[in-house]
Amino acid sequence: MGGIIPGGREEAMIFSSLIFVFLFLPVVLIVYHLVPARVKNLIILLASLIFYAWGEPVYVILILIMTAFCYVMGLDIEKHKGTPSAGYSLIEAVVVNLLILGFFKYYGFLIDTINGIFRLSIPIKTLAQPLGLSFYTFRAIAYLVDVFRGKTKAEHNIINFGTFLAMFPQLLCGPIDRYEDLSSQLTDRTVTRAGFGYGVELFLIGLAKKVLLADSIGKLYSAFVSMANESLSAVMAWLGILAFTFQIYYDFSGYSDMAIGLAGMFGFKIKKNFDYPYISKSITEFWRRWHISLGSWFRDYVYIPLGGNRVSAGRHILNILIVWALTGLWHGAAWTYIFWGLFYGLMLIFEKYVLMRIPLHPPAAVKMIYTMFFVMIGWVFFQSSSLPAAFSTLSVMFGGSHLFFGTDAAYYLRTYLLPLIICVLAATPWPYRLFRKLESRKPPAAAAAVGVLTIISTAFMVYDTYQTFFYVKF
Amino acid sequence: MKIKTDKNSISTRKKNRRRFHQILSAFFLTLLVLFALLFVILPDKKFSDIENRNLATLPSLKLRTIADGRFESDFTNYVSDQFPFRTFFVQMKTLTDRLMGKDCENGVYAGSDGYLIEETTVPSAESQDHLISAIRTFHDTHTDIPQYFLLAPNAVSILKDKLPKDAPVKDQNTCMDEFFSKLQDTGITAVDVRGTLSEEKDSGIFYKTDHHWTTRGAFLSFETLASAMGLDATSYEYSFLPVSTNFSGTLSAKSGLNASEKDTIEIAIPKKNNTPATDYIVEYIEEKEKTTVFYNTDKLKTRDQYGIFLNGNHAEIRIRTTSSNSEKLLILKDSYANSLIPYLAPYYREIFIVDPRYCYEDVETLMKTEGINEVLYLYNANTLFADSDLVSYLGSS
Repeated sequence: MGGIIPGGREEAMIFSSLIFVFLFLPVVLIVYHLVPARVKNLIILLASLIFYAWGEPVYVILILIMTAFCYVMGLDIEKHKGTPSAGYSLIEAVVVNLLILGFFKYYGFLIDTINGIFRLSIPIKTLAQPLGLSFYTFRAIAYLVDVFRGKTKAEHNIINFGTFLAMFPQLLCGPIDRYEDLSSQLTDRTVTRAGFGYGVELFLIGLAKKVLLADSIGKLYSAFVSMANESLSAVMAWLGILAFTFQIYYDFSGYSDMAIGLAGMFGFKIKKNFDYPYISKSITEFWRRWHISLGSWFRDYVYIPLGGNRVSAGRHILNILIVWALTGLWHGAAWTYIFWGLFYGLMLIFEKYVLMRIPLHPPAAVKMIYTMFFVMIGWVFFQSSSLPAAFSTLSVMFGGSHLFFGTDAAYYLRTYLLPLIICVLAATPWPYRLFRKLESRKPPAAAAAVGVLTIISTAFMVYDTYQTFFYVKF
Repeated sequence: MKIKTDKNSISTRKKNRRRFHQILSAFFLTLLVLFALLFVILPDKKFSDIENRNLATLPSLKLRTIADGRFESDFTNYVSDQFPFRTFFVQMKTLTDRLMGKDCENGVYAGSDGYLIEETTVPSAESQDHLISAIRTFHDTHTDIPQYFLLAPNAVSILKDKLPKDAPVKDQNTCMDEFFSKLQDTGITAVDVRGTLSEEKDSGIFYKTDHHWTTRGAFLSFETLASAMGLDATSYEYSFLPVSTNFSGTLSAKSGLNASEKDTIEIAIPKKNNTPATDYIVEYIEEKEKTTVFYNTDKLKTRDQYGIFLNGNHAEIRIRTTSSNSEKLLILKDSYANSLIPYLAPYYREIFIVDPRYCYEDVETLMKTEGINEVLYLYNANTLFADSDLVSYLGSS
């Protein structure tokens, strides 16, 4: 994932690596296929722990402890259902999860902020953030709350619970799926040829998205980042942000596709996490299509408990702002993320209370341009190293630089034109619909197309590890 | 309204979709099993010619290295390095990029006329200052000894008209101008060959697939250097003899581009009539080997054919000649010098060549024991601007 997704780290065994695709995955699939049904979850759990430990040899202990803790607390909440004790257990469990998350992820940020406000110099001991922390704590909290609410029964089998919480497809980058969707599948699922095939399809398409689209357009974004603001032309700045817009989408949605596909190879059905967000006709719609599992998590576990929209308008606006500040904060311990979240909160408030009330019905294209315009502005904040840097980039984008269209922009526009066009097209449902048509008429041709994409994806994964030296290093 | 034919009925679509998934699953599993088998069966490669580095070997399993993550990253590198058909995949990737319109890989641009051109390396102000002050200090320690610095430009400045249109490379000329002006202040003689090379830029002075200058480019630069050093370049004439026509150099390796483009390597043969014959003994000090020629044709059988010149890079080389001139020259250099030194050899009784990237001897001791009379720095801009070994070497005493 290369760090573009919050919490991702290079040392982890990422899905788009040769060792994962060509060594880890085949071994796990073969072993899974060979063992009897009652051991299959254990195999997934063990494989997941090895997968996790590969990038995080020490923190695997943390996830083991958290798994055991949440398992015990889940049972406890269920046992004391209806009594205040259940509530206390829930609060205790959720607080522990949040404290762990807060300590590893936000401690440095908190001390920095306090130092800044009070002019102190409290030293910061930063520990490396455990992989997947943001994701598995949220999945655990959802589980605990759902057990408390009676939405689902607690998991009585610790292996099954461990499989739910730590299974490697979702472990590092989500989706933040719900225990209630998985609970029956933990005990009762079969890997059908169709299901496995669909998993393979999703995995390979996700791999291509990540390796062929995201990483390639990411080079354009890197070029933009390395340019000093003074030499940036307006067009180059827009190109850079456009590149980021595509990179983060294909990286994250590609990764989600791979996760869902991998889960499918083991017989699990998981809901999709992205639904062509860039064809949205409003910001409101955008957040129903982007990182769906996160949006619904905040809705169910923060927004609705706060009262949602069943309150006064003023309180409703406050709820939205709180939820979105937290959403931004979840993405990373920096003001740029919080600002990004609040930006969306304000946009949503604007849409709900102003835009939707105006009896205007512009054509769909206008709505999509409006949406993508503000989505891209949001990304300026998300990708910036600081708020001042973000405003600086924005000013270049909107004419603050004396250069409108420099030679840099001309070069990158020319050499990245085709990839950009592909990125735009692939962000719409049409290519996949066409593909499904081909698949329904000539399945071998469709399979060959995916096969070719896979070979090329392999080539790109190999190239990543290619490193020449001009003189032999000893 | 057309009645849907059986071809498009739901059951056919479902059947085809299932078929698609079956074929895809079979393909996927076959691919994984095939590569896993190949990986295990094929013997591990130790060295990559094209990448010019040792390839990772199977790391040993130790609890300590597992706990701190070293085993994991070593093993990941091992899988990547020993992946079957590695070079084929690298070329597939660069081909795909080219089809998509990309003309730059790993900092190397695919220019016109088959030229691969590497981007400019810009020196950091700090490293530049350290180097200049080291050169100044060395100069001040040896004010009686003439010192020269030939900083060769790279194709990125001389052949900039061959770069893709608007290519975002930094201006190497500006960097070199700055370096030369700082060099003048130190008191040593700066030798600027950019004018000479620019005039002849269409005469094949740089390789198309390699970052070095050609034998002709080296000769042209030598002529300029000779006049700066007070040598009569007209004493010797050379004819250029091609020794290889299938040279694929560092830039095509680094980028994976232009794999089918081949360069010709020439060596300069002294013409019989005008040249008083000079004999040489070339001594590779560390390896304790001696030879009488500057060229090792065995290197033509390897990937790095440029190594034919002075057998590639060595820490220390001593050339003894039967020259009538009794001066002893010290050359501190990078690989660009390897193809220029043969032109200098007739003018000195002894040439001592040091590559600071490999040599850890003390320069002052060397100056004394070898009785050096002249010092020449010979570097190409991109290498010098990224180098930190020269500063260390000069400051080693």
